[in-house]
Amino acid sequence: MTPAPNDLLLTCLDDIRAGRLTLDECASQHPELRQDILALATLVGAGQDYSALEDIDDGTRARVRAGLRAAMGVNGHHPAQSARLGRELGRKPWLGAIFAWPLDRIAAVAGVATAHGGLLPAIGAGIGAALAGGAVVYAAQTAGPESALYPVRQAVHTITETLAPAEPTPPPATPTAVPTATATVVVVPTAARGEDALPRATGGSRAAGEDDSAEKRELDREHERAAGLENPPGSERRPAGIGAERSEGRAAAGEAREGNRQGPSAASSAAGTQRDGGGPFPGPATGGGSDGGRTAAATSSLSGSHDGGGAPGPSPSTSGRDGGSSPSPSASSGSHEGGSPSPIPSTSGRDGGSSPSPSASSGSHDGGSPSPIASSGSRGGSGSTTSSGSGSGSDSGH
Amino acid sequence: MAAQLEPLPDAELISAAQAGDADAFTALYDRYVGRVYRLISYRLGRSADAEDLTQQTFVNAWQAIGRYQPGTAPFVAWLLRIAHNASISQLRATHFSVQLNESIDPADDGDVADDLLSQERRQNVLRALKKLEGEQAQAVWMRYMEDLSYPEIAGLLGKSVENVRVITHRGLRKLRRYLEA
Repeated sequence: MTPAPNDLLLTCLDDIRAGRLTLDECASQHPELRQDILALATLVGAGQDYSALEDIDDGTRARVRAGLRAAMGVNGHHPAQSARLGRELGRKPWLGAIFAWPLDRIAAVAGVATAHGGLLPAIGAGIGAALAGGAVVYAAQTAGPESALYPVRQAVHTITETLAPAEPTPPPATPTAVPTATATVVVVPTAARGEDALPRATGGSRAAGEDDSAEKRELDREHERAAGLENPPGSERRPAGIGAERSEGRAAAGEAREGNRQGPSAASSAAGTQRDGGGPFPGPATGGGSDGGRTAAATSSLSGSHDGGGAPGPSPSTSGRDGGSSPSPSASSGSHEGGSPSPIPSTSGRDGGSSPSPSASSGSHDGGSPSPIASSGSRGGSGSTTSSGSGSGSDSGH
Repeated sequence: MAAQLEPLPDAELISAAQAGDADAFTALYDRYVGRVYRLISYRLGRSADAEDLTQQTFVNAWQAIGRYQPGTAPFVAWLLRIAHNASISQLRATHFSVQLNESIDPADDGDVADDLLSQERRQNVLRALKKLEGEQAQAVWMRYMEDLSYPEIAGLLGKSVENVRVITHRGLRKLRRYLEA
């Protein structure tokens, strides 16, 4: 195999350096590299001159040696310790944080405090108070109600919850149930949302094992009427039967809080809101959006989903956080990021686009899961039930 | 102590130095200070800067010897790389202009014309070499000035031998342009 020009040039230069070839011999053997060889011959010569340079003289050697020994001694450096420390710092970031403290600034502050005698006691007192407070808080972590530190524990807990970011809470491991068209209640724990393929109902915690019969709903309404608590038209009404965790002031069957301009429902059964729950379900299901959801569903169920489920389903579902309308016999809306591929066209909400579908899934933030069932109320997963009703959102109602 | 350590091979001295033995590191210094000083003095010129920088190179090596991996490259190559980088930093920091007449001692009994030609040649090469950057500069220098083999340079740079050859060739191409400029 013919060597590449790269290798030819390097080999030629190496031969010249080693004395195996002269400059002319190499240039004549490789005329195409002649110019390169001639130009770089000076490099070879410089290298030879460099090699012939005198070694360091003894005086310089001794001076540098003494300086090196002094530097090694003064620094007190121990390379093995340094290496161990480096590895230790790699394993324990908090240790690195300690070493990363601006010690020079601390020293400067201490110097200033020392210079101004009045500051020193103040700084000492501050540090002492901080340490004492930390000790009390630490001791209160395990304080029982009978302990004198229990109020401290409660206060810390309150502060912690107040300062904690308002992240969506994980779904409770309570079973949820969604009424089916035949009033069959399916109870499935929501903890398995999104991962399982089990049919499961979407609904809030109130829905667990709750009878969703029309009689009971009617009874509830009568109670509300009697108590004067029934919501006026267009306002939210707590879904009877399967409730939602966030059902208060949220999703309602067939009605929206601020108007549900669309969404006449032939039958309305409220599927409870489930914030994160949901799962694939066979059957008509409706995800009800919490904030909106203009849906017109000939047959739809409502599940007041806030974060959306969005499992596609062959069933009408209505849900949606921010609304969206679906001109379909069943509609789903309110999906944030679209639903999931569905054998059935679905209409989903804000980001999900819309699709004319006899069934809809909605309310999905992050997409749902492929399911022949509509679902609602799931952020990542999907939940659906077979339910009927008119989907409605509570807020939008455009 | 240093005399007792002097005959020991590099590997033992390095291991001892990595364990914190200052005498072992001093023995390594005695062994390689000549090459380090030559590199620095060649690049900087013979001056107090070269002496100081040689000392600083070994101090840096002492502080970093825990990270040296004996299997990758010869210890002297590792030292020379530290010296090379230190000289570059020094040149950048001080905008050092090479005073070649001061830096290189001509052969004592050489012909004056040859000396002048040699000095001129070295000056041109050095000027061109200083324009090279990064791995190309190191590869060319280590190969043609320090006479390291390609595998040694490869271990030093953490490259394959073939890659080092390509880097060197590209550096030579650039160097030729610089020499002709």
